[in-house]
This record gives sequence, structure tokens and C-alpha cells, in this order.
Amino acid sequence: MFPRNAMCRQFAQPVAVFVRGVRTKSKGGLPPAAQRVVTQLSVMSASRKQPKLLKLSREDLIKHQTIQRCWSTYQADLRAKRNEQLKLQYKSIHKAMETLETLNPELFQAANAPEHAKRFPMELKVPTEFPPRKIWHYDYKKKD
Amino acid sequence: MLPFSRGMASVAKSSSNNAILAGLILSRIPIVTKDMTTLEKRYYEYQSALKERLMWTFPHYFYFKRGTLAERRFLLAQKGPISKQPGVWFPKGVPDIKHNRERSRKQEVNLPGQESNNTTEAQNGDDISRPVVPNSRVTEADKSNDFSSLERKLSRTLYLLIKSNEGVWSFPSFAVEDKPLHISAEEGLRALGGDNINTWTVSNTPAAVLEKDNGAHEFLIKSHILAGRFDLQKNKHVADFAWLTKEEIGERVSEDYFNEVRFLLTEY
Repeated sequence: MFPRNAMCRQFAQPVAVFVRGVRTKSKGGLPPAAQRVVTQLSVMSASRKQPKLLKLSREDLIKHQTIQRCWSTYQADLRAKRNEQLKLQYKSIHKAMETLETLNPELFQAANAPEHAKRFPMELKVPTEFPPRKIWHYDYKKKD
Repeated sequence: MLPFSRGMASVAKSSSNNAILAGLILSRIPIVTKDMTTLEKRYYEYQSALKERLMWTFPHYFYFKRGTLAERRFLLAQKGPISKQPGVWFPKGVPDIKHNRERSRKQEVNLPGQESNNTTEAQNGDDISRPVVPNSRVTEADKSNDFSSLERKLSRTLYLLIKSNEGVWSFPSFAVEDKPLHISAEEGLRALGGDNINTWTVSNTPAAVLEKDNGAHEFLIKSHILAGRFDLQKNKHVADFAWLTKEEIGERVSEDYFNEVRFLLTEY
């Protein structure tokens, strides 16, 4: 008796009934996992992604070759300068050690001793394009 | 610690002719990359233009999922290429478009939100999407020409030079007792500039030897300053100190001295 009354009341009022409409899922196509693989492969593949080949006129080609030759000459100059400096430094070390050997053999032994345990310091940083906020750590305290 | 009164070159002059001194080339390595010359700048510009021209089309479908708001924002920021129309003359060649890219030119990829971010000051520091503003390569020490600062000339290697009471600039040098050269140099530096300095000596081996007028030999040890400050202690032989680049050293020291140490110093 009681449930029937309740049902009657329900039918008397307008009810929003959910009706399944058109499917929103894409028709056909690949399953998502396969689609993902296709996308990833197409990122790596060259098809339809390559630009046109460069077609340089004779003048442009000469221009390009001149630029490249200028650069390699410049680099060769720098290299020669650097090698020359290194050579001078090596000779200088050699001369210093020979002088030290004649002057004071004990100091020579100490200067010539192998430095096996020596490590490159962690505090030396590679130069960056722009400086950090705190450029230099002035507040270093001596460690005992 | 060495007794400092005996540690200076000026004192050693009066001692025996075969005196050995430990000189110290203390350097601060560059903090920023070296300044490019005009040639280098032009060449890198040319190379990057070539590289952009020959680059594959940017696969935006990989980075932005289809139908998302992010993809929409990205596509709205792009300036599309000019498409081919029948009966139209194209002065820069007939468009050849694939994947929404003109193949005969470099692809310009605009990131969304780049053009609207011109209110730098208005944004607070906690906003993670605030634009990145790099620090200046020219520091306060450069502007005020403060030679005692380690924050000057960030793109160059700086060397520590001291000025004697006679007004002669040179690398610091210290008398050698029984200890090896590099230890004498390090302890002498501490005595001269205070303990709060962190250095790394490159090698026990001296880099060069300089013969003094009085017959003494000065062996130069190379070292790097890593942290701390060179704080000139009260001293009756040293008047001043400065952190200088190679060119500035050439201006201050005598020509003979500079020719002897020139190749030990770097150009940048």
C-alpha cells in the first residue's frame, strides 16, 4: 500500500529521464594506444616535415664558402696562438725546474712530487651566459 | 705560519744572493662566458639562420593533445602561411605548404603568451610564469671601477697584483723557508691577505722563474681563488692591491716584467 502511493506520486510529477543520444566517441579510427604510437613515430619520421632543399645561386655559394673559409682561418689563428702560448708555458716550466734543481735539490724534489690524491675543486664553476644573483661568496670562513 | 716581516721581496733584497722566493699568480676565473667579437657574433647568427631554415616542421600535434585548450591557444598564436590561390601571382614564389608550414622558408613558432607579457614590474616574484630577466653582465664594480672587487670584469680572468711602497706593481712573492714552494706561497698569501680565503693551487710545480736584479730567483706558482676575500693586512711593505686583467697588468707593471709573465696569463 505504502510503496504504491509513493510510486503514484512519482509519476504525477514531470521527471527528467536520461536518454542516450548520439555516441560521442569517435567513429572508426585507431584505439588510443595505437594512435599514440602512430603520433610518436610520425614525430621521428621525415615525411612531409622536411623543408625544401637550399638552392644557392653561384653568388650565394661563393658567399657561403667565403664565410666558412673566414671562420676556419679565424679558428686556425686562435689555435696557433694557443699552441704557441702552451709551448712557451711548457718551456718556462722546464726552465724553472732546471733552475730549481741547481739551486735547491730539496725544493726540486717537493715540486716534482707526484700529486695523486689531488682533485679538481667543486667550487670552480663553469662560466655561464649571465651571472648568478650572488656573484662572489665573500663571507668565506677558514675551516680548521 | 711564516713570520711576515721576512716574507716580502723587499726584505729579501738585503739577504743572500741565492735567495729563493715563491711568487703567486692568484687568478679568479671568468664567471660569465667570454664576450664575443663581431666576427663571432655574425657567424653564429648566420649559422643559426641556416639551421632554422633547414629545420623540420615543428610537430605540434605531439606536444598539444588534439582538442585541448592548450592546443587552441597555441594555434591562435601562430601566424599561418599564405596559401596557394588560383590565378594569383606570388612575388616570393608559389607557396608550397605542408603541415601548415611554408617549406621554402624557416618556420616561425610563436609561443602563446609571449606577446602579452610586457608588464614586467607589475608581476610579483611568486608568479611562476613571470618572464625570465637575466642579471646584467656589467656589475656595480665595473661602473665604479673598483679594482679591489672580485665582481669586476666577469667575462675575464683577474689576477691579484700588489703595489709596494715604492709604487711598483708585481705579483705577490714570499721568502721560502724549509717548506715547498707552493706551501710557502699559500701561507704567505694568508699572512698578507687574511685567513678567510679559499684557494686551489694548480700544481706543486712552478710555472716560471724570474731572476731578480740582486740575483734572487722568484718561482711563480699558479693558484685560483674560489671564495672569500683578499683583505690586505696591516703591512709595512705593501701599499695596495688590485684584481686586474691581462691588459691592465700590462699598463701597470714595467715592460720587462710584463714580457716575462705575458704568456702565463690568458687573453680572456
